[in-house]
Amino acid sequence: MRPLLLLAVLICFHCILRKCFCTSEQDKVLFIIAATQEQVSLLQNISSHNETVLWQPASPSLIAVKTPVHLYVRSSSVTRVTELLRAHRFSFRVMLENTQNLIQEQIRNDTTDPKSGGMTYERYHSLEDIYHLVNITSQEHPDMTKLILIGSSFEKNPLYVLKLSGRRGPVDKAMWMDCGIHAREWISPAFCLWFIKFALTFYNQNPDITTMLDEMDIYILPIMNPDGYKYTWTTNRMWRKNRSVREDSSCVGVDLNRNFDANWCTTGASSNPCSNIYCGQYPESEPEVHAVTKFLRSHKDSVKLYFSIHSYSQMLLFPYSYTHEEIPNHAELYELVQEAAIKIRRHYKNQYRYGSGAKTIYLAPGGSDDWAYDQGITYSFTFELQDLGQYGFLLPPNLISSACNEAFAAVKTIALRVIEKLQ
Amino acid sequence: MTSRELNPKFFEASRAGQAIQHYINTIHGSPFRLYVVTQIHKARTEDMGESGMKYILEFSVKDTVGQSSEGRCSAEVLFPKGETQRPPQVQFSCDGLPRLNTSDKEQAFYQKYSANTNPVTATYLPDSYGHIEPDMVPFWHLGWLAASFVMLNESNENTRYNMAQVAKIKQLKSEDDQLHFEYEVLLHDMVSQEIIRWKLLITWSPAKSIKVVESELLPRCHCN
Repeated sequence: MRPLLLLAVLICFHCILRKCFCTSEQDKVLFIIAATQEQVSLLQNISSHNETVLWQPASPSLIAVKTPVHLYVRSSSVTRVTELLRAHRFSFRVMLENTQNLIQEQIRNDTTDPKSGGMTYERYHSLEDIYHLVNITSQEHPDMTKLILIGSSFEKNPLYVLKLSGRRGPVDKAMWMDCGIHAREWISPAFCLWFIKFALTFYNQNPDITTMLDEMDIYILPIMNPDGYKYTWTTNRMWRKNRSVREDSSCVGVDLNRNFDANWCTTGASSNPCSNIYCGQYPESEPEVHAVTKFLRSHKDSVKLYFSIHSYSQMLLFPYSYTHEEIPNHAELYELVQEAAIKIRRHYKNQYRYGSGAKTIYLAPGGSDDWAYDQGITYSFTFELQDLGQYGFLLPPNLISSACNEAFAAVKTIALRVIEKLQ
Repeated sequence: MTSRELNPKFFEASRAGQAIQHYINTIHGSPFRLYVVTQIHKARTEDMGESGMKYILEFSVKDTVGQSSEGRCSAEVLFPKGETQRPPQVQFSCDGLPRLNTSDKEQAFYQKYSANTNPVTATYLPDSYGHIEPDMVPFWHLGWLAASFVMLNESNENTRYNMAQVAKIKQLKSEDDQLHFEYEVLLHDMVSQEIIRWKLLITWSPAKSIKVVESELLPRCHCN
């Protein structure tokens, strides 16, 4: 028994060691100084290897004694190169850790800076850009928008809701839409921003937009998981959860869409903090979820319509996701998403599946739409935007506009029907 | 033997559709031709008792790389029963599987990279923004194609996999008129929402198509 236990411990220790294998895998830039002529020729040899790129000087032949060398090393060779340098007693240090991000930053087209206007809505935005855009929008449209701070994230990033209203007196109905619960689903916040822009631009021009804004207040939370989103821009593009830490676990983050108080942490969620569908320590344990539920509870009487925007897989879903049982108005909501899917098919030739969450994707307890439904918001929906999996989370920017147009068609179709029903 | 009609919009049907998609790609895919199941029209299951659960589907499929028209197909997928993972058995037939001629492109691709003195290396196809350099697009498709073998092998009635990203490519020395590559691919496991990483050693040539020589599931990263 004892050797077995020891083995288990060793295996686990091995897991821990392996654990951080991933972060050290980024490409790096090394700052190296050759002290001797022998080191110079060694360095010339290393830098001619194709897994490294010499940043400075321009060519290996220009490497000289006591002149700084900046060497870009591919992640796969970092260990080998640094070991080689160490073995030959080079003086060197890591100059840049996370080159991948820097390079990507540079690839981006500078002319599409958010401050310069233009094609702002057909590219993805960093967290800072999103805050900037939302702020600017609220300043430019003081008569139609109101910026509301509903709370802050685990890392104390603000959670802003933008309230959109037509130029009219107060109304008693409202719609809520949140985007970016899951960090890696970048098309989601892109859609919220697009929606805001579209609604404000075409109010009093497009009759559907005008009806929506005249009949309802529209609350939009463009980014519900700012910490996770930021992390996908800086460190791990495939991050899903938020970035909350707890003392008793080395794993970070809670799946915000498993943290709502709706059959919390049953089949379809995980109580393991390392899981990507970790439900958290208790319902609403996460400040992001708590902020949203607090806001919606206090606006329970007005909010009639709830949308949560996700990606990918092209689905229009409604409760329940936590059980295979049908909601009382199942047939009504089924008709609504069916009509929306038909509209998308007709206008954009794209296929969206539709139905209740549990039957269409899988069981997923603790979700926002189920919670909203159980609070009495009987028109509650989750959309999974483009695509079907060809690019998945990495939807290219040139598809943002078609993804947003489709999503908008669905939101509009359902919102207008619900407005009719509530008359 | 009990039979059950499925709603083609629901996940049981779409999961079987996904397995079929992986299968079709392993047979007919190339760096210039990849199939996706665009829509499932009809689906039912037949309980085959000890041997497993059979799904019978009618669906549309198209070549997403060549942007072909849609073709209508039918297929049977048998998910074997048992404790150990065994790949589903797929049989399909199509009235005209859309098949654009890509042999010139494949030849050119082969010539370019078999004569290449500078072996290809790359990371992250597509990049975080979904962008791929045009030259690298066939490598993304080749990675997807290779991943189809893994996704098919790993599929059962409780899974659903999608290609997420090519994390790394390294071209190895060509041998026996085959291009050799080492790939690291990231797959999205829909059910657990985890991203898993597989290392694949593959060979490819227009004549012999793709072969996955070695595949290894790399340890998950809970790296924070």
